[in-house]
Amino acid sequence: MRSIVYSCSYVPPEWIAAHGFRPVRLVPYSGTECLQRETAGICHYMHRFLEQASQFDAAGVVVTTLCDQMRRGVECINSPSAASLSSLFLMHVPKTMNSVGAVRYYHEELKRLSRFLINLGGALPDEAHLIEVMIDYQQKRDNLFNHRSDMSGVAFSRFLRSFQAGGLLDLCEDATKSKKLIPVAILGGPMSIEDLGILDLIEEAGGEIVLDGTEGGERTMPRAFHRQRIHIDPFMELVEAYWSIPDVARRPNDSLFIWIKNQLAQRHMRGIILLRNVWCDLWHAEVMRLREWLDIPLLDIDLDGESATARNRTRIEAFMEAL
Amino acid sequence: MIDTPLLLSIHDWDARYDDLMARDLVEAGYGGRLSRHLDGGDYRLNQLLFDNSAASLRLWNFLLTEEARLAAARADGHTLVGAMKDLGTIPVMAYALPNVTAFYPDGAWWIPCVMELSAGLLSIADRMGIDESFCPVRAMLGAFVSEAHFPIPDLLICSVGATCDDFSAIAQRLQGLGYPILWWEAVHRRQADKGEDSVILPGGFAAPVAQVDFIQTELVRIKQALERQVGHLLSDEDLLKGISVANGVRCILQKLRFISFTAPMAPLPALELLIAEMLAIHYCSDQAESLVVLQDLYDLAKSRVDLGLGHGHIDDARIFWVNPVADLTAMNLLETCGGRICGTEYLFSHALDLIPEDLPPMEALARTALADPMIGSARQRAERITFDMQLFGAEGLIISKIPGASHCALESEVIRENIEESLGLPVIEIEVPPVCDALRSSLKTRIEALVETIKSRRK
Repeated sequence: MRSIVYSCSYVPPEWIAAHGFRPVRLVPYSGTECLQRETAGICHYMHRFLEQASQFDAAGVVVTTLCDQMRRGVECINSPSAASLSSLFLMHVPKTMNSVGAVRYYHEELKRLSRFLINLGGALPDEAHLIEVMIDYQQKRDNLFNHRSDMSGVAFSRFLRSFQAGGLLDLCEDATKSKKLIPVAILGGPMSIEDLGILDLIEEAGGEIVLDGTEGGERTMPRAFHRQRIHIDPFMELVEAYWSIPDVARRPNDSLFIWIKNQLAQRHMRGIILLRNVWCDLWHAEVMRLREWLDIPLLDIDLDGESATARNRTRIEAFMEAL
Repeated sequence: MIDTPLLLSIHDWDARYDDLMARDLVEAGYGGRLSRHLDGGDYRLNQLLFDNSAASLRLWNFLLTEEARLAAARADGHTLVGAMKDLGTIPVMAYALPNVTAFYPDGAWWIPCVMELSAGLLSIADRMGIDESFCPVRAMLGAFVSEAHFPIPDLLICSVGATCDDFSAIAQRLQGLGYPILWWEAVHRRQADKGEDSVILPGGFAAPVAQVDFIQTELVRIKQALERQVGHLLSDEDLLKGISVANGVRCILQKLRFISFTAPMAPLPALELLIAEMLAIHYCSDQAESLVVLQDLYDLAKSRVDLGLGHGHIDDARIFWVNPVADLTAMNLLETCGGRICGTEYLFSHALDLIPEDLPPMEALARTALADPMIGSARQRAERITFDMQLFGAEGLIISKIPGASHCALESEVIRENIEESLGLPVIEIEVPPVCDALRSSLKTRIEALVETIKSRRK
């Protein structure tokens, strides 16, 4: 089965799978050659994602406009001086929350994605097939979440990413849950494979990740599909489930804060570690607001594509100690 | 009588002002000596060089009295609309309604420059967690918090979507501080897919009809919010009239740009032309007066060209400038180095193109909004720059990167590649912070190098 690489939580893997492709949410690794000269202001995550997507043996690549860097980075990767992507789909994910038209636009963009996939040799799914794929994905997600309490937070975060990568990534090592650790949440943007080492560091420092609110973590999973509605209009149910994902880029982004508030009430974490890529304005701008709004401590860590563990070890240890 | 064009310091302008008054200069209500603005804290004026014409005096006084005009509008019971990010579309609608004054809080990005950081707006933004890694438009946050530079608008409208993340993040921070914002979606302008209908937008870009339709529904939502705020319905007829007035401003500006960029000698300096272009976005909070100010400037430019007068020398390097500068002194620097402006793209070319008057007005505005160079690809933007450089006979390009702006790091490379490959003209990139004194010598060296390169290629 040919793969479709995608970058964003608002691209439903069910939709890609229903067209006959294997959806792969690529988690890039760091430390590769850059597409163009490194310049201040260019997000290393975007850079590495696009570079590795262009080298991936995939039928196509789907990226979205949710972050401006990714929207613009696509042009660099398609420039004559850079490696080229054979088939690229840039999907506009509306940021406006209070507009019915914006939801409709998202709906139309997913239909446009369908035409892109069909042009690559995919097949337009009938409703029965779409329902079957959606239920299959739902069951897999349910299975993951059902085993949440049996494994460490680090293992769960890695399982989630491995699942989204279509099983192509073996990120899951020791799933044993440790005892008597300090419950903390992680929040923020996407991470490279090397950045995931931060999660181990948190655990080594005595923390237990009870909530993964980073891109690719629990926050960016769709809500459960509605049992009746999925049979009435599966595509609309898919649209609504994914549209409801809370994200820092949405305007206003109140739904993100509501999500955090609900999780705080349920998970009883004692601190939050924010992991943001160094040129990500969207998360950077929220650091102060989160600090003002939260009644638990927040540790702000920026990821720059270099070894995040070495330079953050002391800070994380001190944070855990203070908690 | 047309005097020889000169560049004057603000203090030289006092004597010039006396001279003009002795010659019975008739000023607008906001007129007066330029040096009086120093008392209000606009210290950067001390470092600027100004054109010596009465038309330029009027332009500067118009610009520097906007805050007072907004306060007067509030006192007169006008509804104040703060439009953010879209640069040129929402004010057309707002000004078509009675007793509405629209302005761009984004304009606060020049306050740190004009007041040489004395207003403390960037420090306030720092304290709000919006540090120097963000675009200088973060000064807007400080202006809202301090409430010292413009009245808080009755309605705040901001476009988001395919816009820069800096602005979106800063505006969200503003909303988080308790300033409600009405957001609308500006979609990423894309090419039409196979079999999909498309239309040509003002300025020449193309977009799928479906995107125009979507933007139109978003603008209808904004129109309804404006109507609710003002308590008055905006008819198509009134909106068409509003578009016609906006086009009047755009038309005179087009003429001013063309004559200024193509004349053998620059009839107006780069700095005054930058300020003039900005009027097309929001009319400096007085649409009717902005038309008069621009007409004055055009008349002056035409007279100077007809008489063979201008600034600088006939062999000055003809330079196209991309992106607005956060420090106005950078525009003076161009002329100091032997360059002159022959074309600009200050991120709002869609505010300069005429809005179609032969279409239903909301569709016309939707097409205009979708022509925004920021919401499409950098390559499209580069293609328009290429076209305009050829049109105006530019010999080189300066890409003025905006510090911290998320788009500049990526699009500058695309623009540079495009110009070098398609026109074979020299390109330099500079970065201009709100107060660039510390960088002045390196900026000067870079611009001088470009000027020398251009002149050596003529031989």
